[in-house]
Amino acid sequence: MEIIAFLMGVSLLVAGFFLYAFIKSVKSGQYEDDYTPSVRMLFEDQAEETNP
Amino acid sequence: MAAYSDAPSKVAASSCFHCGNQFSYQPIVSTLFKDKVFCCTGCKSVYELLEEKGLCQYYDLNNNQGQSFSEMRSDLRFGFLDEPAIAKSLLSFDSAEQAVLSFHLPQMHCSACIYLLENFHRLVEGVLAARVDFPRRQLRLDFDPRILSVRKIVETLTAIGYEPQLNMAVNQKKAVDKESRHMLYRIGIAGFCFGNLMLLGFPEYLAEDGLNSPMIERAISILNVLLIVPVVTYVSKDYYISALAGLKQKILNIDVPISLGILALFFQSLYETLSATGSGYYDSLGGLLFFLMLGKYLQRKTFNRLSFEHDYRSFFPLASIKIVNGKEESINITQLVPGDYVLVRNEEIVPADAVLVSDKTLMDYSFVTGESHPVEKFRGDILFAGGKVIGGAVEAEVLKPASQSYLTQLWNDEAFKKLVDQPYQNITDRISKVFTPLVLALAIGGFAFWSISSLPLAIRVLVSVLIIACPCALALSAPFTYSTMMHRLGLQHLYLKNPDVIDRLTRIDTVVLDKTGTLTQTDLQTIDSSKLFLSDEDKELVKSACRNSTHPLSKLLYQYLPGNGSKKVDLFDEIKGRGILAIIDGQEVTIGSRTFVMEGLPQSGNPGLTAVYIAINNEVRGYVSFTNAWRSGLEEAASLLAARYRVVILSGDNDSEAPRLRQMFGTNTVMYFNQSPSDKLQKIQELQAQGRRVLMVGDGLNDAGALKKAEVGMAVAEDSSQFSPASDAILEGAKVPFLPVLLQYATNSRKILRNNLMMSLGYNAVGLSFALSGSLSPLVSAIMMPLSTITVVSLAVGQAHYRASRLDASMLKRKK
Repeated sequence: MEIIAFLMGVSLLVAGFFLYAFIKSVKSGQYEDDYTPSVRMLFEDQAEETNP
Repeated sequence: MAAYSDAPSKVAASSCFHCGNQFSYQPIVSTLFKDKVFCCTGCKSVYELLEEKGLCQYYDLNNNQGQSFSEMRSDLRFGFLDEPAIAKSLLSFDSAEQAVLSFHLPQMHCSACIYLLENFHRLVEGVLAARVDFPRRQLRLDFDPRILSVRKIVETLTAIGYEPQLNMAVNQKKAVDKESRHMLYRIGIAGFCFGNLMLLGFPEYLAEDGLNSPMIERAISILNVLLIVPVVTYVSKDYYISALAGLKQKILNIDVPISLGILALFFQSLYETLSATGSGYYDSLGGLLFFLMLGKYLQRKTFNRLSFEHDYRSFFPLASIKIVNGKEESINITQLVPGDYVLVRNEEIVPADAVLVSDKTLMDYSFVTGESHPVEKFRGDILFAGGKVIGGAVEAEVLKPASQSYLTQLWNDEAFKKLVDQPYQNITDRISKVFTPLVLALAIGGFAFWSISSLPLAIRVLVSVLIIACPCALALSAPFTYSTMMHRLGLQHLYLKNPDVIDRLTRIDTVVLDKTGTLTQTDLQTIDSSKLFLSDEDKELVKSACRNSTHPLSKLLYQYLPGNGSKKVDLFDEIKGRGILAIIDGQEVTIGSRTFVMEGLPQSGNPGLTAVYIAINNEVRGYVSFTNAWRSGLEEAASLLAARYRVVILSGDNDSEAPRLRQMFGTNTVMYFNQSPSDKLQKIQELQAQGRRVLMVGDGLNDAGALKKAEVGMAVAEDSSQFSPASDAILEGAKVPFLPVLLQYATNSRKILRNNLMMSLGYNAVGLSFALSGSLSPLVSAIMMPLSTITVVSLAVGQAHYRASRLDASMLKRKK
C-alpha cells in the first residue's frame, strides 16, 4: 500500500512540472498569437540565412 | 499620365505573375526574367526584388497571392515621418542602436504574407528582425535607427503592397492584455488541481471499507485540502467580488448562488475531513471551477484582428502639413491651433474645421454626413473635419483645434460618455433574478423543516441544497452557445465584439438603417439615362466636352457614354459650381446643373435628383441621373426585415430616393432624411424612450453616435480591414442583404438556451430531491455535477452548430 503514497508524490511532481511549464508559456506571450507559429514552422529555412 | 493618353493595345487576357489580376492590355515583361508577365511596373519590381533576394518561395505558398501594387501617389505622403517627434511617437522602444515599432497591416491575408513580412530583414538593410502576429494583423520590426528611417520602412512596406495604417490612434500604446493572462493562469491552476483531486479521489471510491491505512488516508486528506485552497481562493476570487458588488447594489446576480455553492462545498468538505466523517466533495468542486473558468474564457473571446473601439482618432491622419512662411512643415494634428494654414492634398482628409483659402475644391462628405455625392466648396466656405478633398491640393485656415471640430464633438458629448458604463443584464442575469431567491428560499425552508427533528441533519440539508443548486449549468450554457454562434457568424462575415452581443440581438424589435454606404454601395453608381435623348453624334460631342472636365460627375458621364470622345474642342469653359460650356464643331454644348443648363428656359425635371442636364445649341436634351447602386438582393431583405421588425431609415442624404425605399420597405417604414449625426443619436433615444430595443446598422462617422446609443450597433464595412466606427458588431457590406437570416442565428441561439435551461432545471430538480431528503452523498454529487456540466456544454455546442449549418444552407439557396 505504501506504493500509493510514492505514486501520489510522483504524479503531483509531474503535474506540477506541467503547471509550471504552462504558466511560463503564458507569461512569455505564447497564447497571445495562437495562429502565426503554425504557419511559420512550415517555411523552409534558407541556407545563407544568418540569424540576427 | 503617359499611360493614359496612349491607349494600351488590346491583347488576349493574361494574368499577372505577381498579383494574379487578369488584365487585357499589353503585358509588361521583366527584362531579367522573360517568361513572366506583369500587369504593372509595380508588380514587376516587387517580383524582381523577391527574386533577387531569393524569396520566391513566396509564390509557392499560395497561388497568385501577391498584393496588387498600390501606385504610390506621391512619396510626399510620408514626408511627415521625417519629423523626429512624429516618427518617435510611433516607436515602442528606442535606443541609439535599436528601435522597435509595430504596424497594423490590414492587407495581410495569407501565409505567404507572413513569409514575406517575416523576411523583411532580408529585403531591407537595417531591419534586425520582423515578427508577424497574424490574428491581429500586426508586424513588429526591430531596426537600427542609424541605418534606417521610419519613413523608409513605411515606403518600402507600401511599395510591396502593405501600406501601414498611420492614424491618430496609433499613438495610443497598447497594454498587454493582463486580464486574459490571468484567465489562462486560472484555467491552468484549476485544471491542475482538478486532475490531481480526481486521482486522489479514486482510491476512496474504489476501496469499499476505507483504505486500511490511516497514514495514506491522512496524506490524501492533507493533499486534498492543499489542492483545494488555491481553487477556492485565487481561481474563484472573481465570483466573490462580483457577488458582493451585486449585493451592495441589492441585486442577486448569478454569482451569488455560485459563490454560495463554492463556499458550501468547501466548508462541508473541510468539516468532513476534520471530523473524519466523510471524504468531502473536493473533486466535484475542482471540476466545477475548471469548467466555469473555461466558460468565462470563451465569453471573453473576440475577433482580435478587428477593433470595435475605433473613435475619430482612428479616422484622422497622424500628421498634417502646415504652411509657415510659405514653407511646408509636418505637424501632429493635435498641435494644430486656430489660425494655422494647412495644405490638404487630393484624397486626404481635412484634419480640423477650416475655412477654404484656395479658390475651390470638391469635398467628399459621404463618410461623414452620408451625402452620396461630392459637393463643391469655394473660397471662404467652411470645410468640416473628416471630409475628403478631391482634386488638387488646397490650402485652408484652421478654425478650431482637431479635438473640437463639428465631428469630434460627438465623442465629447455628455450623452456619449454616459453610455460607456451602462451595465448590461444578459439572459443569465435575468434568469438568476428569479432563480436565486428561489434557491435561497428552498435552502432556508429545508433547513427550517429539518431543524425541528435534528440540527446536524438540517445543516446537512442546507449545505446540500446550496451545493446542488449551484447554477453551473445555467452559467455555462450561455457562454458555450453564444461563442459557438459567434464563431459561425464570423464565417458569414458578421463579426461580433463578444458573445453577449448575440443575447442583445435576440431582444431587439426595431431595426434602424442608414442609407448611404449601408443600403447602397458607395463605390458603385447606377446611371439612369432614360430621360436623355441624344443621337450617336451628339453623344460624341458630349463625351468630348466631358473629357476636359475634372468634375467627378463629368468623369462618370465620360466613362458611361459610348464612343471615343476625341473631337477637337474649340472652346471650353468650366463655370465653378455650375457646369461646363464647350464649342465643338461649331455646336454649343452645355452640361451641368439644372439651373445652369435651363437658364432662361422653362424649368423641368426633379430638383432633388443628383443629375447632369445637357443642352445642345440651347435646346435641352434631357438629363442623366446618378444614384448609388442598391446592394443586390436588398428587396427581399427589405420585405423580410419589415415583416419581422419595425424598420426606421435614417439618412444624412436628401430624400430623392424616398419613393424607391418606400417601395422596398413598405408603408410601415418610417424614414427621415437630411439627418445630422446628433439627429440620428436623438432619434435612437426617442425610440428607446418608447420602450423599443434598437439595432442600428450604419457605416459612417455620422452614425457613430447612433451606433453607440443603440442596444446593438452594427457597423458596415466594405471589407473588414477598413475603418469602421465603434460598434458591437462589424458586418461586411456585401452581406447586408443577408441581415434577416443573420439575425435568425441569434434568435435560434435563444431556442438552444431554452432547451438547455429546461434540461438543467430537470437535473436540479432531481438533485434537489436528493438534497432536501438529506441523502446527498459525495459520490452522487461527484457523478451528477460533472455529468450535467458535460451534457450542457456538448448540447450547447452541438445544437449551435446544427442550427447554424441549417441557416448557412438557407443562405446558399438564396444566393442562387
